[in-house]
Amino acid sequence: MKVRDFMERDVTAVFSDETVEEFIHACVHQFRSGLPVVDNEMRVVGVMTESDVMHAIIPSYMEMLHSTSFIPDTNITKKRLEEIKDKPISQYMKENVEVLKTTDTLLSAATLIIKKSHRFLPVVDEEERLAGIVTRALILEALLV
Amino acid sequence: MDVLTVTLNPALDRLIEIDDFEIGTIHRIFESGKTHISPGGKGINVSLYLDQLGVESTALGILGGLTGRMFQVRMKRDFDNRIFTSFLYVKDETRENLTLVDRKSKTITTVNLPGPRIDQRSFELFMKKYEALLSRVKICEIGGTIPMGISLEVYREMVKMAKKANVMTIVNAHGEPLYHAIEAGPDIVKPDIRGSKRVLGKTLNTLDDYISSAKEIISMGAKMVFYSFKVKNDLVVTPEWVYLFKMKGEIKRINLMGTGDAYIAGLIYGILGGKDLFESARYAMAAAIADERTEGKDIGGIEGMNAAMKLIEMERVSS
Repeated sequence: MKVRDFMERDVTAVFSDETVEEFIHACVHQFRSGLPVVDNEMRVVGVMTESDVMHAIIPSYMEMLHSTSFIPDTNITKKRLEEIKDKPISQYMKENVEVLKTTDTLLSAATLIIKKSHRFLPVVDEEERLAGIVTRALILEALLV
Repeated sequence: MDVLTVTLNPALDRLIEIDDFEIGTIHRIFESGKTHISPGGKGINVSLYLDQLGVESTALGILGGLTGRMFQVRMKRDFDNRIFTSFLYVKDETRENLTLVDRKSKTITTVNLPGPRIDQRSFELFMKKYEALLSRVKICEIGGTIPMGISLEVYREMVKMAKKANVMTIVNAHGEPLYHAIEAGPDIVKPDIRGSKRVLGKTLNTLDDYISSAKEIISMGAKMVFYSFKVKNDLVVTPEWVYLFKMKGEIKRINLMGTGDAYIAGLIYGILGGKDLFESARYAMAAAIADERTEGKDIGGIEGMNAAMKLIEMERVSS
């Protein structure tokens, strides 16, 4: 089975000049944890996820504490989000991301997405343009067939 | 990917069959087969029919709220994830169209709910998506109503952008949005005259009215204009010729919903297959006839369309 046979044929994406706030709304409205970022010709230039936003707003030392019970004041987080919400996602997205091709096999897609703990990966066509996405659930569903 | 369909105001179509429908009473439906929910809107329908003809397309639209989410899930589930989609999401709910069909008394009651209001920033993002998607297609179909918050002149801008990207444009609209689209000189125009027979400020009654209106649209830059004429016929006009495509036999009237969209899908199928405009127009009419003969949005694939070809006869009306 090829990726084109089980990918979600939705090319909904965001542009790198959209704001963090717009990205958050897009994720909430679409029940997604992240979205591909495309250029003006639908070529994938990156991926933006909710984790990228979380990392940007939670103080880095918090990651070492392994517990949120030490967070002194959630207002810090809120304040940080307030500071970055109007900034373009280009400042926070991951660039040079791995993508799947429509012709890749299910096995290679499964290996990549599970081994590297991606929640989803963009799929591109022969012209490197966004053709869809593959999520972990879609991989698992395809493996059931 | 060759085709982009644009639906600014998609709708979730709910059809309920109720025998002896009565206003002011409670109707309880016990059979699940009596209710149908399907994604709708001109461009969405065109994508759906194209899928039946084996043509891939991307359906671009604006969705909102939980209805919008349901719409997208339906798109994926009902069409087995075959149609590519790209949606901009807004807060307000996607509109719903409710159709109550009473087969006993042969009545159809329709309630169309309002769609979302689109703010300026959402509109800008939508147009950016539109421009990006134009870069990967050969044909763009634009049609349907325009949601609140978006200028009625939007189709003019969209046609201009498509032309700049060397993409063939097909417009299927009515009223002021149609007028503004025509101003930009789209390649193919199919005025939607179901609601009103007024086009470019003139009322269409006789065949001559239709011909002269089509020629006026051609003079503004279009290469081809179609008019549905007295249900069974289609007037097809290019700068070189005027033909009346007639349907042989009687119309079955099983389903006239969406036949205009099936028409455009047939046309696109012909054009992408390398047929000239005349031959493509035959495919268009065949697809519409095939659709009219089935329940729901179904033309029976390429076989269904080809079978309907023999029901068409062409008469040259004038040059």
